[in-house]
Amino acid sequence: MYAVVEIPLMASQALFRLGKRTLNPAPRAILDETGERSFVCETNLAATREGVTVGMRPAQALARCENLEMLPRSLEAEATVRRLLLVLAQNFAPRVEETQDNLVTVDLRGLEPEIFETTAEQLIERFKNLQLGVRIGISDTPDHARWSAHFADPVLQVRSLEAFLKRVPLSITEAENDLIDILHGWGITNMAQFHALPRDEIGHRLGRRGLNLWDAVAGHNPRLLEIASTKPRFSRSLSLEHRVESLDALLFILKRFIDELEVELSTANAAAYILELTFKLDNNNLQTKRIEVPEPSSRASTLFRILETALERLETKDAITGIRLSLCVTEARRRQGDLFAVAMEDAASFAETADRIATILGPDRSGSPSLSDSWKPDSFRIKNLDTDLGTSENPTQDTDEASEPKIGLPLSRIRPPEHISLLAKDGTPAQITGGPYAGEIVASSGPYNLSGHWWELSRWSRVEWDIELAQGGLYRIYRERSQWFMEGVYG
Amino acid sequence: MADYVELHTSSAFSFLHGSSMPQALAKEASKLGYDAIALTDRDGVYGAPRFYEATRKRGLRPIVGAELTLKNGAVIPILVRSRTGYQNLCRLITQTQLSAPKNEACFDLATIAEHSEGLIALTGDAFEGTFARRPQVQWPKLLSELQHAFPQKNQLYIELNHHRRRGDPRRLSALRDLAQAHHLPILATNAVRYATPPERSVMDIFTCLRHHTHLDAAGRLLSQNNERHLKSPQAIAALFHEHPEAITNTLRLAERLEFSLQDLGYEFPRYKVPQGETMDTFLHKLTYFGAEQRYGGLTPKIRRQLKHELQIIARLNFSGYFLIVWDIVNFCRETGVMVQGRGSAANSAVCYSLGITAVDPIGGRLLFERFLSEGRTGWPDIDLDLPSGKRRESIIQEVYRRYGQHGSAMTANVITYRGRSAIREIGKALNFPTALLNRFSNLYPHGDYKETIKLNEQLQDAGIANTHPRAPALARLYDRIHGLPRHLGQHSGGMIICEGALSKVVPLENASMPGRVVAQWDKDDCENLGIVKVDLLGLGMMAAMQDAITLTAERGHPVDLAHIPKDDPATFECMQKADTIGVFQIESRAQQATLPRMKPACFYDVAIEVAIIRPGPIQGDLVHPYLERRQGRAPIDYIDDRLKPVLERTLGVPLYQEQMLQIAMIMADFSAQEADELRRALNFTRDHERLSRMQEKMQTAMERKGLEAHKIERILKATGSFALYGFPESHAISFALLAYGSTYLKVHYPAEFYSSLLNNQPMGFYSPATLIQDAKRHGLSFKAPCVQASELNCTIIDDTTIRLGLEWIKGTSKQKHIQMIKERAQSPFNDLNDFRLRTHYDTDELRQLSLSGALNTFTHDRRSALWEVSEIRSDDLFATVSSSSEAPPLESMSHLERIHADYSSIGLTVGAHPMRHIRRKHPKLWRAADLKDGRNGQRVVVGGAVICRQRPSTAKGFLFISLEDETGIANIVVRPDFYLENRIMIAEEAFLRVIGSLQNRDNVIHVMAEAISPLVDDPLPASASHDFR
Repeated sequence: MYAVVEIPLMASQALFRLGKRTLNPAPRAILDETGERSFVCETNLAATREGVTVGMRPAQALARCENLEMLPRSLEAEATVRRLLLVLAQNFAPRVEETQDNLVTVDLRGLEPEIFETTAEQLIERFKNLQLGVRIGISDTPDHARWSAHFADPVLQVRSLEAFLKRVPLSITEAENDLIDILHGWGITNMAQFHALPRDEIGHRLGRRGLNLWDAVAGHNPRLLEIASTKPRFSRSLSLEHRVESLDALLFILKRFIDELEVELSTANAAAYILELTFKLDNNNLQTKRIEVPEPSSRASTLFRILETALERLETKDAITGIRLSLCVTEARRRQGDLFAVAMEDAASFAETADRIATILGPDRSGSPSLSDSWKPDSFRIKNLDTDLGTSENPTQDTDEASEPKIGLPLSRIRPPEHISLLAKDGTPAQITGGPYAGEIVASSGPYNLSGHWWELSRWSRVEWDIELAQGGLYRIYRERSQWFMEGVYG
Repeated sequence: MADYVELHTSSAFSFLHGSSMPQALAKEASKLGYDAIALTDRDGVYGAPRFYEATRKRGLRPIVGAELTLKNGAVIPILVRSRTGYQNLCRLITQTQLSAPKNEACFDLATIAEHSEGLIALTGDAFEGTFARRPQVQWPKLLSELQHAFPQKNQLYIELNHHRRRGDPRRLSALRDLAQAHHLPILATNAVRYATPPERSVMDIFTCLRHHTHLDAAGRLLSQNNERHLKSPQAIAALFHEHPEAITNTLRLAERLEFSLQDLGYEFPRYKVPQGETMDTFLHKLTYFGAEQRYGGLTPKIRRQLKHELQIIARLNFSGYFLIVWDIVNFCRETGVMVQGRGSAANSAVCYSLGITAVDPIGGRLLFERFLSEGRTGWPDIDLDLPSGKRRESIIQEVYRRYGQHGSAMTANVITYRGRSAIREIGKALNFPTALLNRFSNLYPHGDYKETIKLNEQLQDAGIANTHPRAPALARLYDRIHGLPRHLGQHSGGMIICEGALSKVVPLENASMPGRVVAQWDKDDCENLGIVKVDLLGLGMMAAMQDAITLTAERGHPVDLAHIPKDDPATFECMQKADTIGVFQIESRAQQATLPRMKPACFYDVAIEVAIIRPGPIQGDLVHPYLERRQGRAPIDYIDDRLKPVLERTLGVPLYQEQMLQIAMIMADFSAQEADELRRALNFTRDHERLSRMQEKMQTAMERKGLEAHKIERILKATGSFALYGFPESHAISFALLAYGSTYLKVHYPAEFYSSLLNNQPMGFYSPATLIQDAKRHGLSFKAPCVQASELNCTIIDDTTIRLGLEWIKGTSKQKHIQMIKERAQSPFNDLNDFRLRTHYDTDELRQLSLSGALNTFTHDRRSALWEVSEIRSDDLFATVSSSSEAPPLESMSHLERIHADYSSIGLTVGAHPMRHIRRKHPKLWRAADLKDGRNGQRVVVGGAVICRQRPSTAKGFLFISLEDETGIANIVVRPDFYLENRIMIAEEAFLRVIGSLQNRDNVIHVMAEAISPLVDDPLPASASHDFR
């Protein structure tokens, strides 16, 4: 016997369990926007009733249903759900096949027939705890089980093959599209009709592919499962479509993460001793928080409580647009020997330390500086250390224009540039009127104009001059936002 | 006099290397006080004619030049000194462009050296990239290569640019030293990329597009500042105060650059006449010979007119042109290609006598001056209509053959940035997520809706909120980029030819289409510069009519279009009933809505019918006055009594360009030359200023003559509307000939007419599916393709039956059909096995044949054929296909399945209309044919397949939908606000259900929509509709 666990409306469920939208009966469609052309990849019942079907372009869908809510699918969220499906199924039986993105086939051979349905119900309950609805089909062959999952509510065990095949449309089989097209051309719409065709004639016309499908329908020679192997993954992350600005919303997502990670921990027989939270903020900076677990644990309730307590004092400088939760794990039976020991020997540990420093100093004040490819003088960005480890990056792109000959007087930079008051005559700097550089300007060269980023609010422009003061000395000054600054002294 | 001449300027015709139109550069140069300025577009002289026009208009002297991309990546400006230089530049560009794939041409200095006579070179950015890298070593080498190409004294200038970048002064000093060391002059330029500083943003976007990147990633590929705009001579003097010689040299050099596009040296090809003849005498002989044939005897009036025309033609030296066009027309006739001259040529009795046009201008009282006058400065316009497709291509290739690859070319068609594609490109450069841009495109699949929805609202709908930090930049850039040239295409039929090499007059380059060469200028540019163009236009209807006439001859009742009765009652009855689907020009929805009011009763009415459905007259409120007057609902007046002779035949309403010219001559005392200027202004839609100047001139003249203000106003209003969509009377008459001829064929030879229409698709207003439904309503029946009976094209079985051709079956190979037909000619196929053994169709093709019913001749039905052809055949050459004697275990197709099979295999059905299938489920739906029986104002429900959605820009936002059912077509009118509310549904749904009130006026029936919903039933197949055009 085989059981197939299927997550119907996978894209919707993946979105809703993460709190992006609440379930409601309004017509809704999920859009696949990953390619050049957007199209509807999933619809709810209300949308289907309005005539919205999978494959429609957004405009076509809106034509059918003016009030249609359209949401982009989240491949990230779907990957998480896919992972959960596999891991949770593996908790129940060792031989599990990842048959499709939204369904797994579980080999139940060896189990007593009377506990099939009980097992299925337990599985459904576990998924329910993770806010996922599943349906399960049970049958003698993997293919029949898969087809029966399609009609399960929530569990269906095939007992009469003949009656069952009449219900199975061609479209849910794994047959290639061209084969389905041929069969549609023949007027075949369900498996019973196909099964009624003589096997030999199918062989003459459709070759090996046709025979394979016929055998699958008849339940002959059930195929072998391709058993999936999984390595535990002790981290979860999510990029958010909408910014998180309250603790409640954050905890909602973290609760999901913890629930999912509990499944991973129990599958791997492991326990977490450190919870590492990384937030991506709206200003593109990262903020990391490490929370030590006093007693390594694999229980979701314990880990969530620790998180909840630690986050009460959390303040971020901007709204959160992405979250990552990583666990440092140990074997469940072992305990951490020294809570205060921090390994500094490898890159990973170094990154952890850097994160700590970043937490203390602020995200924009630690990391690795890197020159930006920009005409804006002194333009640079801070890169987080943990992403830099093990990589080296060419700090500048050596363009011809950037590569001015290194000739002439060196410039000693004044950091930060000093604000100066300046009088100009006929648009040319004439005198500095106060401060340590006060004096008449006897010679000048310029202006040298620089500007950029005109396409958004951070647009900038700057006018530079080289000047000679009457009391001696060559300087570089510049004007930015109507103010003058002393940038450096030559020589 | 200005102290500086800008000699290095790129316009948007440098395609991504400049961001201002030539006109904008000329305007700014004039504002800054320049006396002369050069345009040096990248690798061509694309913008030169527009720049020439714009600068001359502002009193500036235009200098011609181009930037050339060298093989080492450097770009050097070249300036033209003399006509020899210009010819060399054109030849150089042509040679290089034709030897490289489109847009990949690079110039090598050896070839440049061969063409350098009469040209001046600047060093451009040749030294820019090498400044940092040991200039003392690299510069002399580069310079000696350039000096070798431009060896004469003062033929090569070291170019100095100062863009206020740090390092510029040092670079300038180094270049000056280099010039001194090599005894070369220096020259200041600003290497201009845009007219004014704000256009730098467009340049940055273009830089991103060139490098396939976006602004966030472009870094220092973008410009450092906005200094590459046109600067005043004073500003340039300040920049180069350390190098005054560089500025003085611009004046000296500009004086040496004597060439102007006025001195292009273009000459139309001379026609080789028999010994002892001149072109004038030969044309004279041909004309009188032809006139004898066509008129059947020459009256004094005809003789007078021919003499008058021939005198003017000879005086203007145009005889050769007429002979060459006559020669092309002759070639068409000799090779059996139908040809008809259109446009103003139809105003000429000489053209009529030479057989170029089919309209007798003397009988039709057409104004010769609309075609040619003493005052004319440009070439006359003779357009030839040819059957589209292979027949037209054969004529184009013949012209190439006669005048050589470098002696003739298609004119260019400048494709500009507009609509969704522009937003998409700007959006990409601004780094908007692809998903958002996709959403924008997907939400507006049928156009931009610019008349009713503002751009920011459209963007908002797609998820780009006004508050998005880059949304303002997107909207601003769209305004700036909209209308700038994007790339060069080729004109649909405009060909230019030249005595000698055309490549000496205008650079030529490869078109995307194999075998075609295209000039760098469009048709307006060519006309402005006096280059003659012959339009070889393809008309699908001419191809269809030629085929239909051939078929009538083959079927034993030949028709000669030239001799069909011009007063055939059945033909006019067909028009009066608006039963014109498939016929030329008067088949559109708008035409059909006018025909029952117009009720054409003679040939001239057809010409009026052709002319009145134009956006221009509607805009000028002129259609309704004509119809109202015709129906006696409004009094006839002629604006002024003096205009009665001119406007009498259009009931006082000016409908034709000829009338406008005559009005100007009578009311504003325009001379022939001024009338010709007005004609050009009316034709030259690109230049609104030109028309405004003519209107002012007319107004002044009319005021001077003391004409009343309201009359002046009416005349000027009419002139304005004609400027956009003016229609010459001769043109209307030429089109009316085709419209009448095609209606005549439809009425009297429907089998020949419809089969020829179907064989020349795509063409016209309606899809083949609609044409077939229309034909069926006219008593024809259609048979599906059949491998035992069908040819490649549709064929006539008898007067009422047409069989579809095998070419209609999608997914099948034409070559295999041809092979099959040959095989069948040897001996018919015995059965399916025999067919499969003797033909080469693969399994997929056999399935398509089965699906279409083409194999039903061998099997019980389509499904049996599908079952049979699926049987895998052995590769053994001597094997026969096994055939089971048992009946296939499959059920026959249902009616709906057959409709689906029809649409998926041939794109239409020869059976009942899909609406018939669902009729019973919708008993409240009115049939289109029954609407005529409804009361005016009655509430009706109609439904059908959408075959047309139109929103003419002049209809003030109203939308017109045509819904087809099994009985005909229902016309729906949708109010603008209602349309906007339901825009997406209306645009997307293939079948609609409309509730509305019936409007029946003068037998023109519309349903004014009050509610619209999708007609969603069993999924029905539909053909493509004719939308938003």
